Amino acid sequence: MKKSQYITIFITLFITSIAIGQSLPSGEDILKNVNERNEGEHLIQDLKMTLINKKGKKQIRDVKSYRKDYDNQRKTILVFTKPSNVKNTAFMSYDYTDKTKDDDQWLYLPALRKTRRISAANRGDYFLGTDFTYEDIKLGTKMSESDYHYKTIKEEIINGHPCILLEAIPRTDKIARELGYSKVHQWVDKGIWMVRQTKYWDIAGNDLKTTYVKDIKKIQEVWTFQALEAINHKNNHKTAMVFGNSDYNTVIDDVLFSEESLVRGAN
Amino acid sequence: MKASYYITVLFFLILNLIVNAQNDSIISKKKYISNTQFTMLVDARTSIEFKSANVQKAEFFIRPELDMPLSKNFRLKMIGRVYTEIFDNLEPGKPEQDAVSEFSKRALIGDRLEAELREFYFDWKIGKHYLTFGKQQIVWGKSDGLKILDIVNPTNFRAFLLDDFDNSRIPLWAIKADLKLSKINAQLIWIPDMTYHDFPPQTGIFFPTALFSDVPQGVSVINNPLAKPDKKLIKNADYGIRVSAFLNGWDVTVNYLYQYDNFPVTKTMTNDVNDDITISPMFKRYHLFGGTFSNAFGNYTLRGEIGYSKDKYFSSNNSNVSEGIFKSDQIMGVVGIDYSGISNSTLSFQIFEDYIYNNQNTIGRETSETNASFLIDRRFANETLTASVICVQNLNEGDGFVRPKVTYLVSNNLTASLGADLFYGNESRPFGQFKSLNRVSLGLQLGI
Repeated sequence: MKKSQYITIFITLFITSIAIGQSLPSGEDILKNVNERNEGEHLIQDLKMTLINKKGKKQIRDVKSYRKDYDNQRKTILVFTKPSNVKNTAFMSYDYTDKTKDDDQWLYLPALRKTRRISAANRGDYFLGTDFTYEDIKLGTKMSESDYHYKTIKEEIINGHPCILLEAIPRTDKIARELGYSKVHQWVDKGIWMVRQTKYWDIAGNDLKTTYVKDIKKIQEVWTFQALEAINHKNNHKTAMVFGNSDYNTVIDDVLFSEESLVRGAN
Repeated sequence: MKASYYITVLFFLILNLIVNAQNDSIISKKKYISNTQFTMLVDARTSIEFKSANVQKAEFFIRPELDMPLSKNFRLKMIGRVYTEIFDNLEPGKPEQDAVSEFSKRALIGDRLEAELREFYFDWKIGKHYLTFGKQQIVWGKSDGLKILDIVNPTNFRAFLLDDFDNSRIPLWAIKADLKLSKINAQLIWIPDMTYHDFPPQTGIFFPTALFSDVPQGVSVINNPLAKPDKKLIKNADYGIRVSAFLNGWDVTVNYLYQYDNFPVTKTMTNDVNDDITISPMFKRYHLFGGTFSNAFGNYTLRGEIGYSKDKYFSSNNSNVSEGIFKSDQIMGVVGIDYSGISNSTLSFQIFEDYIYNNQNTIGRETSETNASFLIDRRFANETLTASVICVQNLNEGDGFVRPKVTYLVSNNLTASLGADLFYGNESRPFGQFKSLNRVSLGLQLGI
């Protein structure tokens, strides 16, 4: 091949890459769009969690969840309703938008009949045996601005939906250790600005898990995912979450988000 | 007029008020009732003593639970328990339950089988407030293992401190109001149920001998029956208030309880003529002031609890103490730190202090008693396997106990556990007295 041909190919590739780069929104723009997506102020949902280990053994748990957004914080309660050996176990979280402030979390243990204050610092721990960490549960399909640097990679079709692939790298090693991730790839649906798929790498850079957001529907004017699945590639454990009876219209009373309320199963 | 009459009238009066206050249509009432949940726990546990290799107990629990919404703001909760211990070692024969009120007694069917209405209460939401009335457990405090403020409900000591507190706490007929007042919550309680700690008979293997006085040998003893307060539902009821708030990241409560001490004192009178001793166990009233706090700092959670008892009575083993009882103030406190910086693990350390200001040889203890506890808990395989060790040690005399345990989730509804209960220390001490009963235990729990 002649030298001039190399130069032509190089220039063509260079121009093409600039064109693609220009056509993709920046990581910051995607982050903004995703995090500004309407999630409703109040949400009550039923949740069925199925945990499946590599031998196929299943644990099924029914959960009632309540979430309310305030100006500077989000309050969440999850109450286990089945099976009877975990019934009434409840988790409550106050998540603050001010990242300098630690979130507050409580766990009600029916065997003790006491609500325990728990540390929110171990956000990379797995939530009650699932393949989602406390941080994953907290974020839902939102993205963390303070934890990662984001970069758009390319466009890809995921289950027939055009998505933008974002690469998220923890801002510091300390954050990476806290989260348990060294790198995250997120496929964001550019039509509705919701993450449809996420792939995680552990601290050592090995494949860790992939999560899939499924069955997305508009309910009461809010884009809502009806199913969530996580597959842990290291231990072949799987968690499937199916959501039902999503209700954004019922106003949740502030009194629900209290220790006293946890004791009575948020009833 | 009998107390039972007042309680029955009051109960139906409130029920009638509530039912009439509900404006739900028949359709919506049916909808609420269709959300009724009925669940059941079946437990089988057996323990074998290390020393004798004898089976110490083989017990079965069936615990049905009904949670029935009757309207949007009104629900009924009912928990029963059928219990049997095949070897009849914990409460041999038919326990008298003489410290338990008529309304709260277990129904004993022979020596080995009992049935109990554990809880039966209505929860009524009135605006932002709640009224809970019926038989219930009211749990205060933040500590684990040993109790400071968690004394609203008395305890069944048939297995000393080894039963889960949820099982050993004796539910009481009470009215509890949880009031939401701006940024604070106030809980008011009225407990007309005159039930106190239920100790096993002296033939029970876990009868806490170290907590009761020895009678000198060769002396004739007249044992009076346990004297309970008169059945005056207002005058002799227990009353309490707890104010709680979430302030700048701190969970804080301030507590006050005016109650008859659940632990009886023993008045001892000596007949000057023939040296006979008359022993009269009875309950005395006192004021308990206290509070709790907790907050999380990074991987650490700090929690604490304090209780100051005013004018509390104690039994003495000093023959110079008039009638064998004396009055003193007492302060108890605990500070605990939980550490969760190790993945899927919890480490917890607590230190308890208990001080009697005007101690005059209280039975079974010293003026100042310090206990420490340590817990390590680790969860494996997506929390299907849990291993834990809890250790409680008295720092005065060095007696204590260690409880290692492994719990495995066999299937969605079935849990198996293997553990040991190991007491150590001087046999005259509260923990050391049970060291001959050290045991290994196996349990199965089925949720239906």
